[in-house]
This record gives sequence, structure tokens and C-alpha cells, in this order.
Amino acid sequence: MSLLVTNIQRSSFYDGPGIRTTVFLKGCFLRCPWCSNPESISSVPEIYFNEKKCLKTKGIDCNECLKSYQDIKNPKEFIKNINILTNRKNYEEIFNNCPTDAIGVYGKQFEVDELVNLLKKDKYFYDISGGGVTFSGGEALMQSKELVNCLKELKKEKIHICIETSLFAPQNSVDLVKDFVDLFIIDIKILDPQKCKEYLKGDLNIYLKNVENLLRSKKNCIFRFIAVKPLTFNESNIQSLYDFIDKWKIKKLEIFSVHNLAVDKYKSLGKKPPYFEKLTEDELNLLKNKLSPLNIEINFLTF
Amino acid sequence: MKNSIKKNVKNFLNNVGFCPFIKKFYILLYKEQNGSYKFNFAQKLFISLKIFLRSKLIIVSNGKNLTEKKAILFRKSCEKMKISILPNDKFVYDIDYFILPIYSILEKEKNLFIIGNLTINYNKILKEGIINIEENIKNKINNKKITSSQKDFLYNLLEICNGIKILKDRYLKELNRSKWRNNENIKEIREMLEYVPLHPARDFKESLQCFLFINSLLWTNDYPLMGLGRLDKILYPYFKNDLDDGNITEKEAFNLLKDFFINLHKNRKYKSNELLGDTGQVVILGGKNLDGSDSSNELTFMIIDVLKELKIPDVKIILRVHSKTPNELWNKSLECLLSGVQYPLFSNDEVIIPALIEFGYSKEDAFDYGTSACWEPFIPGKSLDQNNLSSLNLLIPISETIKQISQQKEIIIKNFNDFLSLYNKNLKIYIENEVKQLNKINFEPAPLLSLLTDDCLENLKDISEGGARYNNYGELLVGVGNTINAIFNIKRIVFEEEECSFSELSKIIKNNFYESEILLENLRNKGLKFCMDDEIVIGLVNNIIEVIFQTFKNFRNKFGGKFKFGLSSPSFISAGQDFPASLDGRKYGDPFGVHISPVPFSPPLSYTEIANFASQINYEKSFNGDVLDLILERNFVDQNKGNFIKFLITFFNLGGMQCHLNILDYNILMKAKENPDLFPDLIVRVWGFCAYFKDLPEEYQNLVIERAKYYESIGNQYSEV
Repeated sequence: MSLLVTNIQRSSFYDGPGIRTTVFLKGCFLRCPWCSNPESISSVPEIYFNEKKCLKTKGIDCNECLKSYQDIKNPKEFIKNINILTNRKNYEEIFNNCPTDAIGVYGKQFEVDELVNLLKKDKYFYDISGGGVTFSGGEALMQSKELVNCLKELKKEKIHICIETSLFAPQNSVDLVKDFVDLFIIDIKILDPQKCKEYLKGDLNIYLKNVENLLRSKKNCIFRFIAVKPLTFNESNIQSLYDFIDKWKIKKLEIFSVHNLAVDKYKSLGKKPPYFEKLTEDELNLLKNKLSPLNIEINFLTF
Repeated sequence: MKNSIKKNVKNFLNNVGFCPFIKKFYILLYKEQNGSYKFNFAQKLFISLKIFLRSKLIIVSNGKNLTEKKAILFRKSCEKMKISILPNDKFVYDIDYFILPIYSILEKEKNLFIIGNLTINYNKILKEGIINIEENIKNKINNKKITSSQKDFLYNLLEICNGIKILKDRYLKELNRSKWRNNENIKEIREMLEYVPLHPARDFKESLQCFLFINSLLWTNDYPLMGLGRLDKILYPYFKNDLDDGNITEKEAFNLLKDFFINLHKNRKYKSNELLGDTGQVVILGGKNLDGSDSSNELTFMIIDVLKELKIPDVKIILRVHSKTPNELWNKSLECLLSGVQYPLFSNDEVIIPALIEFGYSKEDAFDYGTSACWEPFIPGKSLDQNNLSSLNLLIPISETIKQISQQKEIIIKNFNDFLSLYNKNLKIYIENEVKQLNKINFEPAPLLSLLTDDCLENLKDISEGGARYNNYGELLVGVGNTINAIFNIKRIVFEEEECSFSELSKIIKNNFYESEILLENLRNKGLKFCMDDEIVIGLVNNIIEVIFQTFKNFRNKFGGKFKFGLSSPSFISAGQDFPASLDGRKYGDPFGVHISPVPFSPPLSYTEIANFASQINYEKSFNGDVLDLILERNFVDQNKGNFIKFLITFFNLGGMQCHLNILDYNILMKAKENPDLFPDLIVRVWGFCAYFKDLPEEYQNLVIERAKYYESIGNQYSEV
């Protein structure tokens, strides 16, 4: 039983209460155009190449990565040669030769034991700060079957568990893990079924059912509105957001304004980075004002 | 021929007593140039002239030995030093930096080490006053059992007391004939000086005046890096009594403290040691009491508030924390840090007190610890302990080991363990040689410090001869992170991957990685690194600590004192300046890693990882200053105050020893470097001191910037993968 992980970030202060470790799991059901973790979208390992870090870019004649691949002349070509990952078993070792980690693989298989041991390292910090472990992604629930074993182990250690999710996941994968999860941080994106399908490739009904399921079973949930102009930050969607909060009597809302920090990550995958204009302070306040009749606590997340 | 003329001139100067004069003159010249030697000849000449015009020559023609000469010099400087009285002053606090002494010294007295970097016993003066101490000295002189040299020592102390009385009388005289003599402030000062420092202080204001009076004497007499001690403990009885009796309001107390600290902050240029701001003026606050309770009080909070409001880099606070440090004090400290003064530094009593007791300090004294100028634990008022005698560069034995192996001096290195044993052996030899050097040190007699340090009087010995209660030597390690990274690189490159031989590595280092850029990057980025919370890394660090500890354990200094060491040295830039490239990927002349923190060009590690690592170091054996050194972005701390305090508390609960923080933004530092005028009061912490960024030499500015950039990548809460 292993989990496909893109990154483990210790000392996270923004992914739930207290000091946390965030595990980014690879693979996602949705295709949000603004995605800020593009390396976590695909559910298989991917080769990346970060040209900025490559010594060749600095004019040094480094060919460490090409040594075992006679047919490849430029490290950039690795990104397109996805077959390398399936054909050669020792690919990781080969990428390890890169002295600056300019080239490598997104996605590493972690055995549950290995992962839990790593997560346990900051146990004292979790305990004293009221923190714990957060699973994010990608879509953490995409690997529910494997994840649940990890959660069981963490619960044995009495570690607080949080899942950051889009909730666009089959109901059984939610049910599988929900008893072990102390807190769900649930994204709110596009609340119109058709637009949701069109832009995110997701079935809004699944999402709404999952929300209902979690709230009815009195799970502890925080909702996080992903503010993107114009896809989610528009009049009709804000109205839907208002109704949604009202319907479920949501008490606490985080507003996450999409950033454009992922440029290098897109480039490293050979993809064109999307550009979304960041919401201005005024726009964020406007949103806050519109929601104010609901009497909810609002936190802004900025990076 | 030329040499013999030089020698004759030197002898002449010595005999007529110009040697101390020239020494002092050079120090003043250095300070007037703000610590840099970049001035040209004409400018130097001009500055020299200015110094001459401001200076007072004091000639000591009698005195049968150097101790006596120093005592006479003290008395004479009290007679002649410049004093000033201004109508708005609430205290008198005059320091005359421009006394040029002329007295002859013997050849063997030429290279004496000037005792400094300590805190005297302010508490004793406040409580007893000079008169009582003088009485005690006189009683001892009448004792028939003492030897003549002991008697001489006591007479020297009396001379110091005389000097203090003379200075006090001069002040009174000046105050009486001052044109502001009817001014309220001046009247009050006169009333105070009628009493302190000769008699015990009677109230809060007097205690502050007495403190300043004694403190000024230390600086006028050229003792460097003078600590201030546990102010919230020493001054509290006076503060509390006054408040209880209604003699003073909180606001008045606040304003008095403000004045007190402004006085101490003045003349930074002259008080500074190596760099502008490096004065050693550390205030110790908080701490654990013998019964386990917390010693902080209202004055603790007030002192933090005053310094926060003044926003000055010098005086700085070290806060002693422990399991019962109240939450309010943590909150107050974080507020102070966020104000941008870059203090307090936190020091963990739960680790330090047991280590001090284990080392040999009495329980009572260990609970009363303060620090030397940076952070090295020090028993105030009772110690000669010179805690920063020199720095041990752990890379030197690495170079030696590689040299020996590549020259094949019948050394067979089959595996990594062989290498490590050879390193340990060379480390031991290196330390033994250092001990020999340290034991050659002779200290300059210091009758003033002897009067103000416990047990000198009881032992009838000058502090320079081991009269104080504690007489230990402290060493500081530099290049620890670089050494650990170099050792792991050697393990990986030479023994595991068999990529390079020792002789190849030796050449690469010699060529400063010229045309070995790929290897250089590999060494910097790959493998185990200092500050990873990996058992193997921590194991290696503690193994090296053990070797050093076991080596020092076998030695005593000439006073019978022991050797101690810690992992935080201020020489991270200076020691690197002429040092060859090293196998951690550091190039020739570059700075070493700073204190306990990742070497800046190694891969970024998280705060918790670094803290976990730092909490597992064997501090009991290496307690002479061990500072986890972090840089954090202001917004990050501001947005996460609660969690951040919890982070610090966890670090200390886990066994971390000390931590200092720079709350700094890389972008602001970059801007401040370009336009220093736009950021005149940007403060950064350098080592044990904080300074205005604009005052720092360029290499120090660059290092802070480089480190801030490194830490920016750590603090970044958006994973870059």
C-alpha cells in the first residue's frame, strides 16, 4: 500500500489550525484552469525540467542527465519522453545525477510506514500548537483506499488530521476516510452545474451530495472560497455562494485569492502557465461586504 | 640595521611609558574611523589632531607594579575626566574616552590580555555602597596574617575607592556651582550623589544613578564589552518599594528607565568593540528561581516596553525562558521582536542551569546566570570567565586530514570510519595546541574589576590573577555546519560513489573549484546536510562534540579553571576570509555557516526540521553559547503570532538551548542596501548584538541579505516542489 506524493511540506501555518505538515497527493478529478499545483493534477509520475536551475543555462557544460540516454540531446526533451518512466525502472537514480535537481520526477511512492514516520517527526509541534497533518493535492480523496491506512496509523498516534479537498470525489471514497478526519477544508469554486462542467470538468451534484453528507454527519468543516476573476468572482457565482452559505448555516469562510506563483511549475512540465489577475483589496472587501448579512467569520489567505 | 633602530625606538618608548599611550591612541583612531581603515593619510592626520585636542594626558610616574599603576591611573582619571552637567539631565553619566595614559611597563607586561566581556556585581554596590566595601578592605589590611603583596592588593582597592570618592566630590562641587543649581533635576541629582554610590541606594532613581555611575567608570577605564546583568531582578526591590510607598508612579518609573537606557545607548561609537553596535550591553530578563517559579515581574515587562518604544539596537535583551515562563511574557517578547529591534534573544534555563551545575558552578550561582557579551552563560559579578577567548575552526583538522591522506604518510584509509577516526585524532591535536596557546595568556591587572567582582577581596587577589570565584575559559566553534556537510560529502563522494580520490579533492580545493562546477553544485545540493533532523546527522554532530569535550576535559587553565565550548562563534566572516575552499561547497574566502542554522547554499529546510535538529544537540557538553539562528519574514510572524510562540515553546521543551530571530524581509534589505538613507533605523542582529543595517560593513550586509534570501525560501508557504 503506497501513496503517490508530490511534496511534503513541514512547518505549514496556513493549512488548518496550529503548526502542520501538509502532504500533497498526486492526481485530481478536476481540471481547474487556475490550478496552482499543476504537478499534482496527473495521477502518474511526471518528469520535470526546471531550466532556471540547469547548469547548462549558466553556460556550464554539464551532461550528467544525458549520460545514460544516448538518444536524447537536450534535457528539455525529457519532459516529452514520458515513456522513460515506464520503460526504465531505475529512472530515479538517473535523475539523481543532476547536481542541481533541475531535472527530476514529480510524484514519489511512499509506503504508509515511511510516510507516517516522517509525519511523526513534528508530533510535539502539533501537540503544543494544536496542529497536525493536512492532506492536500491534487485531490487527496483520489487515493482514499491507500490514504485510509495512513490515517489509521496517524490516529493511533493521536495526530489531528485535516483534509483539503474539492469534494469532487465518489461518495464511497469520502465515507472511507471521514471517520478518521478531524477537519475538512472544503473548496467552493463554481456553483453553477453547467459552468462547473465546462470549466472544471466536474459534476457539481457529486460535490453537493458530499457536502450534505459531511454536514449531516456533523463533521467539522471549514469552507474555502477560491476567488478567481472572472470564473468564480462574478455576480451570479457570488450570489450562489451567498445562498450556499445561508443554506448550510456556514459559520466560517476562508477566501483564497488565486496567485500566479505556479509559473515555474507549469514551465517545468512544458505547459503554458495560465494568467489570472489577482483580486484587489477593494474587490476582496466588496466580497466581504456582500457576505456580511450572513454573519460569518471571514479570513483571507494570501501568499 | 633598520630593525635594531626600530627595536631601540620601541625600548625607548616603553621605558618612558609611551607604550600604553600609543595603544590607546590607535584604538581611538580606529573608533573615530567607525571601525574601518579606509581613510587616507591626510584624513588620518586630521583625525589624529582631533583626538589630541580632545585628549587628556595622564602620567603615572610612581607605582611599584602594573596593578598599582592601574589603580593610580584610575584615581587620576577620576580627578581629571571630563564631566558635564545639563539642566535636563535626570542622571549624571559621563564617560571620558579620551584619556591617554603614560606609564612605563616591563617587557613581559607588553602583550597582556585586557579583561572584558563580563558583567560586574552591580547588586553589591547598590546594596552595600562603596563605604561598606572600603570598611571591609580596611579591616582586612589590619589583619596581621596577610602577606605584603596581599596588602598591596588591598591598598590598590582602596585607591579605587578613593578615586570614586574624588569623582563624586567633583560632581557635587560642579553641581553646586552650576548655573542651573536651583533647577529641580540638578537638585535631585545632587541629593542622590550625596548618597550613592558611597552608601546603599534608597530608592529606584538612586539605584539607576548608582548603576550608571559605576557603569561609566568601566568605560572610562577602557574595559570592553560590559554586560548589564539581570536588571529586572537587581532593580526590582527599589522599584517595588517606591511603587508601594507611593513615592513614584508607574509612568515616572517608565520615564526614568527611558532616560537610563538613552544614557546607555549614547556614544555607541566608542563603546563598540569590533563592529559598530558591538558593545556587550546585554540586559538579562526573566528566568527560573531556585524553587522552580518564574522570576519575571512588573519591571520585566516595563523594561521591554521601554526598549520597544525607544527602538534602539543597543541595549539588547536576553530573555531567560523555562517551563513556567508566563504566556503574557512570551506575547510581550514577540511584540518587541515585531517592533523591529531584533531582540529578545531566548535562552532556555531548563537546559542551561543543569549544564552549568554539571560543569561545576554552584547551584545558586547557576540559577543566577547571565551571559557574556553575546550569549555565553556567565555568572555575573562572580567570574573572570573569558567566554570568547578564541574560535576553533573545525575545518582546519579536515584540511589537515585530507593533506595527510593525499600525501600518503603511511596512512591507510580503507573506509569512512578510518577517515573519521583520523579526523577525530587531528581535531584532538588541534585542540591540544589551542589549549597550549590559551595557557600562555596573561591578563592585565584590573583593580577596578577586582573591586566589583566577588571573591577577589576574600581571596586577596586581583581578578587577573584568578581572584574571582570562577576562572574558566570559553571557546567558540566556527564552521561547524560546513564541517558536517564536508564530512558527509567525503563519505558520499569518496567512499560510497567512489567518484573522487582524496588527492583529486585536494587539488580541486586548491583550485577553488575552478572547472569543477558540476562537482561544486553536487557538493552543495546533494546528500545529508547540517540541520537535517536525521539521526545520522545529529549523531555526527554529537560525536564531534564528544571528541572536543573529552579533549578539553583533560586540561585546566593556570587558575585551575576548566575549558568549555559552544557552537556559536562571531567569527563566521572573519575566520573565513583567508580560508581555502571547503568540501561543503564553500569557496575561498567566503563566510562560514552562521551559528546553528543551515549553511546558506544548502537546500532549504523547514523551521520545524531545523528546530528538531537543534533540540537534539548535546548541550550539556557544549553549553558555551548555542544559538539557533533564524530569519523570518515580518508578515509571516505577524499573521501567525500564536503559532509562532508555540513553535518557540516546543523548541525549548524539546531541549533547544538558545534562539535568536531576525524578523527581516529580503526585499527591504535589498532596498536598504541601495538606499541606506531611506531605512535609517533598520536594525539587524549580527551576532550577540543588534546594529543599524546602514552601519554594517558591506560583507556583513551581504551575508544578512544572502541568509534572508535563503530563509525566504524556507518561510514560503507555497510549495515550489
